[in-house]
Amino acid sequence: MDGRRVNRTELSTPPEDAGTSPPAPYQWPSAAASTPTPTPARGEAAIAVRRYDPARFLQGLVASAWRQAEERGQAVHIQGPWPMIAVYPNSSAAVVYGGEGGLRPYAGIEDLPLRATLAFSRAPQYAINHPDMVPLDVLLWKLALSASRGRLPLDMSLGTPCALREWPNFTRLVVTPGAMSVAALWVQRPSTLSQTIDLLHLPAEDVFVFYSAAAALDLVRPDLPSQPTPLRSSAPSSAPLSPPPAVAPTPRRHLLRKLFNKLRAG
Amino acid sequence: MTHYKIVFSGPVGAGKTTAIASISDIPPITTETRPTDETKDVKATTTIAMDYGVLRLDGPERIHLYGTPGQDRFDFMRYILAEKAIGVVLLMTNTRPTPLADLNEFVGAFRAIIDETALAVGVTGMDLRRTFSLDDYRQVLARVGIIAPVFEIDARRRSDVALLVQALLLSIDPGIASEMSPPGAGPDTVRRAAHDYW
Repeated sequence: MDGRRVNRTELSTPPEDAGTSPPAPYQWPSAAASTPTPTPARGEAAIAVRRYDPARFLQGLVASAWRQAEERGQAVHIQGPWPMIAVYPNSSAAVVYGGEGGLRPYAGIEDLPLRATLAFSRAPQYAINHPDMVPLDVLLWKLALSASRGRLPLDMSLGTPCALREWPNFTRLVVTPGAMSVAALWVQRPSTLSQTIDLLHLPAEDVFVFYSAAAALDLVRPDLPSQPTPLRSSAPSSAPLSPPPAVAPTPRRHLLRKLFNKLRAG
Repeated sequence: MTHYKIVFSGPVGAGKTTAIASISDIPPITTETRPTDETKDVKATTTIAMDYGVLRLDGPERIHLYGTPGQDRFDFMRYILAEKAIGVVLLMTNTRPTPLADLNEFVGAFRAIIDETALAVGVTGMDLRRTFSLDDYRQVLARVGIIAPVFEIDARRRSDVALLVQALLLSIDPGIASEMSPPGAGPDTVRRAAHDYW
């Protein structure tokens, strides 16, 4: 901690060293260039699927800027009509000047930022205890939730198996309805979105919004074969693929459910 | 009356006693004393036998929460307390000199019960010392073939400890929350209608 009280008025503009490379306009993807909606998977017609293109939201801009900054080994300042965002890939941190709440009006709006610019900095000034610092994963998670709002990214099919590389750090992330159940399922075995909805008896939009946020953090592995056997079941692997089987209860499900409910209720 | 238990373990100073106190329905019963060994440099008192708390459920069931002593010379207590547990919560702290080695040691010590049940790992002190990230802890688990919830926690915050134990339960049975209550009804969720994630 540098011990200096931060004047937020001063911080509304980039630090002097921010312009190591001249600010460059960000090219937003046009609607015509968007990825086409995938062919509906089996059973998809029965599920109302609303879709969105993450690249056309603040989520996509921050994710793109993060990738570019990481490749350059630099920090990047993202400027537009919203409060300035500084992204520090090496520290896995961002600073949203004035507080991340300032992004709320912009995060859910499509094609809002017509004049976004990225300014890369070779020697970023970065105070680890900056009052407006937010972990990058926390910021991107929120941006993805706000962009998705229960919708599914354009390029994702209901029939693609999903698995999680790891559990999200739920104590520091917004926990949406059903998110922890989906995480537990996808860590244990790959499941398609359709199977997840059926197995966990969740509304589709709860599964979609969790998928969107987890995918934004690159936690989802969509490349695994599906093994739609009941959890904790001794059913043979040749079990029919459709309809998805129910989640077989563990012997202590009643007890575990009561305990879960108590902890959830506070 | 039916009794079940969850075991909290981990090295000295990781927050086991505090975590149990955060979620217990009773003031925790502790067997703390002033340390005479190297632990006295870390904390004023330390657990020598166990910590104990309880969660009362609807009906006759009780969930006993046992905290093991952190010091190696009391490691025999770990095995006694872990027998027939529902699951294991390991608390690690970034403020220790070698927290990754700590995790490796405790996973090894509880491996049999972890394989039979489930594991959740809470990491404390990350705000004090950022030397190791959650990914570092996950990699320790991955090297021994375990994918488990690894959360940053403040053991004083009930919500953190409760989420960690919820993740432990879901690791045992991902279906326990289904059809439980209307989605979004719990305090761990956001208001669906407003989509207010900020």
